[in-house]
Amino acid sequence: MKLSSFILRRLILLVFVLFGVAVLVFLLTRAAPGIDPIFAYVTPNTPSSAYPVIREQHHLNDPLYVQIWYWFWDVLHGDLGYSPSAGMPVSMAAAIFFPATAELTIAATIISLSVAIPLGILSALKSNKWQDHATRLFVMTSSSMAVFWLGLMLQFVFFYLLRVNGLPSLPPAGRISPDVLVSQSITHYTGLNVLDSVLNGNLPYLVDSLSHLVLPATTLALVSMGLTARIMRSSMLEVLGQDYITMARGKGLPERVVIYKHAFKNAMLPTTTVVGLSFASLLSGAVLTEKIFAWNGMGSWAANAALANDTVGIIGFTLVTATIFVCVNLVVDIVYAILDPRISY
Amino acid sequence: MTNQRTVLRTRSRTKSIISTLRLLRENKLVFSGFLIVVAALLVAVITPFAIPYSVNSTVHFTDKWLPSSLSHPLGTDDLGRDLLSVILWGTSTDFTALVVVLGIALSIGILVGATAGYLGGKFDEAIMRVTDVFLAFPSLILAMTFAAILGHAIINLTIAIALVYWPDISRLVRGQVIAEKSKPYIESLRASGMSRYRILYKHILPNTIQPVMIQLTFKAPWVIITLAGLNFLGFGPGPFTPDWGQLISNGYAYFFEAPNVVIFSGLALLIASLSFNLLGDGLRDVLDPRLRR
Repeated sequence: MKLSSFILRRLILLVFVLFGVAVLVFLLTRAAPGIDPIFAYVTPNTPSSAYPVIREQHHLNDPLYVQIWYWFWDVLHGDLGYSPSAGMPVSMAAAIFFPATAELTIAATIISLSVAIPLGILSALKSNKWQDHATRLFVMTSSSMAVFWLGLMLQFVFFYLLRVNGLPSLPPAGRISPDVLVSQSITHYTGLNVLDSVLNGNLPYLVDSLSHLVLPATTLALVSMGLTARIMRSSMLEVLGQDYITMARGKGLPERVVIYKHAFKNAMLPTTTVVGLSFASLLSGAVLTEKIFAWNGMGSWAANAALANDTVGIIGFTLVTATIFVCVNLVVDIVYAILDPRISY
Repeated sequence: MTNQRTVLRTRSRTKSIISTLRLLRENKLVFSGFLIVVAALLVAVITPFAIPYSVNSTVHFTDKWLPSSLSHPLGTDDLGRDLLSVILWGTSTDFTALVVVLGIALSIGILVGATAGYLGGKFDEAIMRVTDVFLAFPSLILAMTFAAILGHAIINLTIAIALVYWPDISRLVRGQVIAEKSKPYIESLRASGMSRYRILYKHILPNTIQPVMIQLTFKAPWVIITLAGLNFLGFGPGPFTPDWGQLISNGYAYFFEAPNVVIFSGLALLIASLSFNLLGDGLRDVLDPRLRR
């Protein structure tokens, strides 16, 4: 079958790209001037007398082209070194912090798509009218913003200004309020607070974690929304210009049916690829957003590592993120191939 | 003969620049983007001469976090410096960095992309796989890694960003070169015995420059924002090389007490990147009429 051979080919390509990613990351760990690679394998409590042994164990005295294979072996076994800023090994930090970042990026994607797609359709239907220009300006402004500044501005309005005026305000930091954390105990199945509280059927926990999620997720969504809206607009315009739409209109179908039943589905196709593309900006943005909102995820960890000059932590984070990103893109490509039967590979 | 041709060519170039400007003027938003970019460039060039360096290197501990007043229109920052002057100095830092980033990325990108596209074959394949690897990283995160390794200096940040950006340009140039090299006029040049490199640099590259210019305008906001992000995360050189991201980072500690620092530095950043985006939009419409709808 054609689809399966396409998937197989993409998987092989994925292996090559991941190999390249690993080589680049390895070179970065060893090329860094003034940073001894041994720092990846020691904790602050390791006595310096043990260094020669560790050096021998991790083959750091061998030439680079030998070292790289041992390094691959370590990485494949989940040993990415010790991140002093997290106070734990990189692999453990990644596993602990990942759910928070996943929760944030998923929420941001949902918000982004549910605003961007209607906006894109609206500006395609009202092409070159004021609605189109307004959308264009909004999209352009939001994607011209630095995500960390936008986050701070939202905090200023929806936390500080509301609170100063005695109105109910949204929490500016953290994933859950301390008092809720103490009074409500739930079992963490997934590490995603919102999902876990639903699974536990715990309403106060759900409300509290949702209210903490609103500001950071909106911040992230606003910045990545522009691309989706613009692509939705142009693919909608393209579909609307096609013969079968004229035909559908000619048949006397109501405009609503033409747009939502005939045009919308086909215009959605290119937009699915954008989900993969904007995932990169979400992961990048997560570093800054998590720092602003004290969201205890991978991005926060990377930002702290950056401040503490924890190169091992940053490099470990980079390798993990790149892997996630590449895999997400693969999934998006495969979904696209399944959705669009016209394309044969 | 040659002289005449050069004069003619220069004349037609000037003419095309003027007609581009005229087309840009049709759209008020685009034109205002253009004006702001030009104004910001002027500010960036003039500031180091107009505002003495001592303004941003002198610390006044008694004047920290002042609100707006007549002597300090935007108030003062965490070191008691006049915020307006520091933001203007930031324009200078950021635009210099922008020019350096675009310069480095363009040189690598055009050299690699054009060679790959023109030669094709194994070399092309190898280069494309290398760009694949670079594009497998979310951009800010790769820039962060480079910055962490290179160390805290504005030049290192620009190198880090350029290293992340060159694959984009390479791919664009490669595609353009491949499309251009199969055209009949290149065939005839080749048949007339012109050398391959002369064809590439004298005839193919000049015809690929338009899409590259559009891409550069669109990427300029990304460069400024990424630079600000790296500075915000603490990869920057410290307070005496003022930069908008770093100002936001300093203001962040007392954000709610003295919001001026964060708000105005961020506004400067927003205005700069928005005007580049507007300009890019307009340039694309003007230079690539196929996209006009």
